[in-house]
Amino acid sequence: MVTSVRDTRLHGAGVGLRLPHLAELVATRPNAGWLEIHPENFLANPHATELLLDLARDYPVSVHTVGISIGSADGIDHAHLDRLASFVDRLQPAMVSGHLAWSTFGGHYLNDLLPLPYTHETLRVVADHLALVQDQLGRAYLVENPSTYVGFAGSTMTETEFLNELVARTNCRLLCDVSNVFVSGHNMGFDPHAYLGTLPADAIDELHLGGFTVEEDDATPGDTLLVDTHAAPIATDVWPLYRAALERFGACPTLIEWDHDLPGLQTLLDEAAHAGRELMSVAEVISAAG
Amino acid sequence: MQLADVQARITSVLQAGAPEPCAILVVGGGDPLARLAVHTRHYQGSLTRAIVERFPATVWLAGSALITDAATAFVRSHPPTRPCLAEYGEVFPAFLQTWPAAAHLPYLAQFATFDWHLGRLAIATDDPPIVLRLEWSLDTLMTFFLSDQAPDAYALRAETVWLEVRGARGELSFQRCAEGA
Repeated sequence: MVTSVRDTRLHGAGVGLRLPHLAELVATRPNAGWLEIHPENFLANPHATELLLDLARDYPVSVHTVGISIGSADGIDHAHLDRLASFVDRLQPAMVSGHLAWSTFGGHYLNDLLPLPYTHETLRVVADHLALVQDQLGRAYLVENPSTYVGFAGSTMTETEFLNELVARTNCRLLCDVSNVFVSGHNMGFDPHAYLGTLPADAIDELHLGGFTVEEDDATPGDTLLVDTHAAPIATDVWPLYRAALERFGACPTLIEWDHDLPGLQTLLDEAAHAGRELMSVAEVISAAG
Repeated sequence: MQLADVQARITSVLQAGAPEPCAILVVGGGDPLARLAVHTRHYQGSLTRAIVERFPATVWLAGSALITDAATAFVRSHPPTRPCLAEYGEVFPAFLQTWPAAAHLPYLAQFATFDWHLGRLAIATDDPPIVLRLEWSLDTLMTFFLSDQAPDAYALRAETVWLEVRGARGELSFQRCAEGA
């Protein structure tokens, strides 16, 4: 007789699980809506994977890869995709996602999420690789908008035009990183609210929030550059943009990302609680409206 | 310009550190090439950090400056080929063997090899033990490192030692054994 069914869907706000917090999470099982992990931190770490599988009995988990380079012109790393597929098969996460970016070329892994020119050639490359990834994983692979510092003179469409075309061509799902929209808008001189307004709202399944660092912009003396370091709290100015994203896309599950200068786990949980309150508030408004 | 050519140029900028190949490609700010520094800095810094953090006992033994300098050069000459950075650096000990600033530490490369295997076995769950043949009695030094102690002085003499190393779930043990055991 089945006495309970674990709900593996993502609800509310979750936190990015990084290895330094793993033992504490296993020991204390704090109140967190869900967890998101980078599979590249676990694929070569059997002990951490064992602990993650244990946590997955209590928390919905999302897999967010940084190593599947769907924008690489010379193809994706099939060996890595095979490993990812086995890992996903074992973990059975609620979602799998990655980036509109590239990180491998010529057999070298560049350990970064590098920008793409938005052209029809890039659209074909990304769409082909996305189909390959989704076929092998046997599930949807959400594509995240990048944070950018440079664009390309050869681009023939904007980022949101590119994402709309990608969704139209592949029927893929999207992850909107609200902090990336804020960072890229500041760096590249576009209006973040207008960007949100031109994303295909029906395709958004998840939101991300992460901290950035303010630096001097060496490209334009006197100006600042926002660097997506995931090494700081969510900036005060990002919260209203997050609220606008929720109002446009609905109460999507939201992740707090923090990767460097990692604070105590409670700080991440507090940030997630903040996002959770915004989510709840918007959900109530949507519910009241109709 | 084709996407492959764009990516070849950016790869070259990241690995060589000189942005000129991207001069006609990028836009952003008054001097877009300066913006590429965000990526070149991340490439070199994150990979160097990955190597340094992968060899904690070696850093303890030889000092952070020496290992960081060697790791910086290693990243340039041996860039990673796979996205799991915990697997990056297996040949760093052999690289240290040729690193001029480490010439006064003839046992450093073997100690780094030992360090590599401890790091791998510490996160294992069911890997079999390994047997290492060392030309120096490095197990003594490694014991100091694992017990978080620093000896006031140490002197090593060359002697062949066979060590069996076991590890799983954060627990490690090693003991001397007879040749080939």
